[in-house]
Amino acid sequence: MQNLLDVNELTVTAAQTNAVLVDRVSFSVRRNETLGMVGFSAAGKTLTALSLFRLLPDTVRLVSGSVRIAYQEKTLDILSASEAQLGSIRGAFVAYIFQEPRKSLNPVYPVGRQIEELFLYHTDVPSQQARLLPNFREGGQARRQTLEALRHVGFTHPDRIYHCFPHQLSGGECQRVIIACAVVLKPSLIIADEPTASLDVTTEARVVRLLQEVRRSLGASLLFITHNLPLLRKIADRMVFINQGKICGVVTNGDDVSVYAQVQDPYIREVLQSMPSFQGKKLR
Amino acid sequence: MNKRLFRNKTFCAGAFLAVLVIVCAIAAPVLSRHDPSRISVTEALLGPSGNHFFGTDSLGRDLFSRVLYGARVSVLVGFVAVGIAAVIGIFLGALAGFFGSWVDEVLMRFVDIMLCFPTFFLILTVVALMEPSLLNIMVIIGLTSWMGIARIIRAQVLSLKTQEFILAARMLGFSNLRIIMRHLIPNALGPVIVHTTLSVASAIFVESSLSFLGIGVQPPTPSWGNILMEAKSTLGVAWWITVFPGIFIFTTVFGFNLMADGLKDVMEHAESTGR
Repeated sequence: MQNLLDVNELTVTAAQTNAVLVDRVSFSVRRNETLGMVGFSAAGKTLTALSLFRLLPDTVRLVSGSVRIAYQEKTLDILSASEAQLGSIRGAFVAYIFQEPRKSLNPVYPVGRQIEELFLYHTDVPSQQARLLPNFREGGQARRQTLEALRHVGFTHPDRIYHCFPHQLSGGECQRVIIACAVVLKPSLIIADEPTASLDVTTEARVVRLLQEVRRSLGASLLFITHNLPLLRKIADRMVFINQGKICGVVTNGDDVSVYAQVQDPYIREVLQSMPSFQGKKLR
Repeated sequence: MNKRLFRNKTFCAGAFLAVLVIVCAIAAPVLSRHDPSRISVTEALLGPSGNHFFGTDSLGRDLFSRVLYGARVSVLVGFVAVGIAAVIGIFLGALAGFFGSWVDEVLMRFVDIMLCFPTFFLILTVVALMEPSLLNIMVIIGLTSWMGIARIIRAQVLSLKTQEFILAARMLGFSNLRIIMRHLIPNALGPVIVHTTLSVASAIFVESSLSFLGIGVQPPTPSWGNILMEAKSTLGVAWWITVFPGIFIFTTVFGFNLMADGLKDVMEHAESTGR
């Protein structure tokens, strides 16, 4: 399999009304690329991202389509995978980064513990999954990896952050902790769902730079979901435009504005034209 | 949070009383000067004095020692019974809340059925059929008082499971069991702690009532309930035999109730300020 992830005709509907929320979405994520996914609020971005690894709430249903991933040298269809397989794919193959960093950390444990537990759970599978209380060992390999990951994401005093609870950290710090989770997991794919929506502009720039840097050092791909087109223009290799649950088109990013001249879809043209850097320029 | 807890006067007063009783129970052999079951007919029905702080009962047994040893029974019943109730309640409540649909339906209807029985009479019936022993009493009180905890945990889990950190935990590949045990239950425990503190008081109360009716802890093992039962016949001449165990029951129940009240205040405050 050439791509890392191939999504084919994925359709998601509301369980009660059968309204189509994600409509025959097809796209692929290549290896070592940053793929941007752009769309308005409620366009179906998050739903698409969640359905890729079958994490949908009870209120919606995955109706048809296929999601194939290149996992451990094999091609695997997520939609027909067993729960046990899914358990190891989630975390080992893919890491999610959510919108609200503080809310995605468990409030009752120190953040370092959460990273360490994750590491133990996914690296030492047979002995750790059986036990409910992880074996937190001072100076053990898991602890070292955790501190290393915290340093990697820019904390100068990782041992202090290790013992902090989520409410003691700022939003940007929490987001970096979550990126540290991704660092210890070493996934092939990082899905970041509006990771900077609740952060200020400076912190946003830092987090985005960090994400890019982590992606490159892991050799992973990044699916970056956002409504922030200017930001995406800076970081994405390709951009998928999504509107009302449908993919309108895929655009290869580049400095050259003329790339967009070939775009036919009226929605994408409208979105592109709303950007200051495009205003006044003719697309055709 | 800890600081605010110890600054809360209600909690501190309650904790003081509760700890006092627990210390009495643990240190009973050290504090008492007489064997609680040593009968001495010549010393029967003596009033409180320097030798017998709380006086003696109709068989001449030292009431102070008996009340202290009775505290052991009460505290033990209180904690073990509530421990059993908490384990059952937390487990079933979490299952119902997490899995929803038919699991929820079955478990919650079971809770409703359990709540339909008048608990005390259920306990009376069961104890009458089984042998009245300390262990049986603890188990029976535990088995009939988990429903409230189950409901609280279920409600907590229902609201917690839609939060992002649970979604994140699922995304990180954790199994359902681990999510329930490590992520949902620890976050849902707050209100349960308040409830269990109250339950300790009521469990102690139920044990005393059962022993008073003669189907609880059996003599000669002293318990506040059966001391009171024996005191009934000599109430006219020996007030101290009823008053002192009574004071202890009152103090214990009052202490645990105060503690629960203080805990609730602190937790509600913590919740509203988000820490």
